[in-house]
Amino acid sequence: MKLAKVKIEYSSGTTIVDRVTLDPATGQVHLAPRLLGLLSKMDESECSAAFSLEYRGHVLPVTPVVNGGYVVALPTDPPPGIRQILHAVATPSKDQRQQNGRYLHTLSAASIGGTVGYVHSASSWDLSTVVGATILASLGVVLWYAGFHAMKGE
Amino acid sequence: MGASIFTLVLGVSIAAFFMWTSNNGRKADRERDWGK
Repeated sequence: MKLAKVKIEYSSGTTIVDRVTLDPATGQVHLAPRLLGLLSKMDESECSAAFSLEYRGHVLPVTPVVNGGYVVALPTDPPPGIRQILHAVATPSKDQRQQNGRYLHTLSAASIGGTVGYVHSASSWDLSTVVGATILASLGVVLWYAGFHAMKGE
Repeated sequence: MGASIFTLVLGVSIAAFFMWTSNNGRKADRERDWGK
């Protein structure tokens, strides 16, 4: 059994914040009798509320079940080992996305700089030089856009 | 020419990979922040 924070929001603006007992194995949420009484009292004068529970940084919807209890679908942990590492790489946090964006902008700058160096070092403007310079310049733009996309705030 | 194509493929792959991870990260953030 673990303690978890719940938030019950009504359309009128009334918000109830409380702590409940959570069974992580089954996802069953046990509310205090005081809170159950408060909810039934609110149901007399309010529409159905948005009921959410905070668990390990996730905010999860709580749903009532037929016997009068409440359950929550808990997120599954990524599997341990190499898959956990890959999962961390594949789903970066906001700060990590910022760092990835900076890295992409560094690569973009290298591509643009490389284009200039490549063009200036070419002895003649043949097809190979033009294609190489165009690809490097295009990559500079593509990498800049990818970095811009990674840094995009919400 | 081969080196240019290799550079192009490598650069586009890097860009696509980081765009993919960014989308995943945003999706995970949205799921984590559900209801906020």
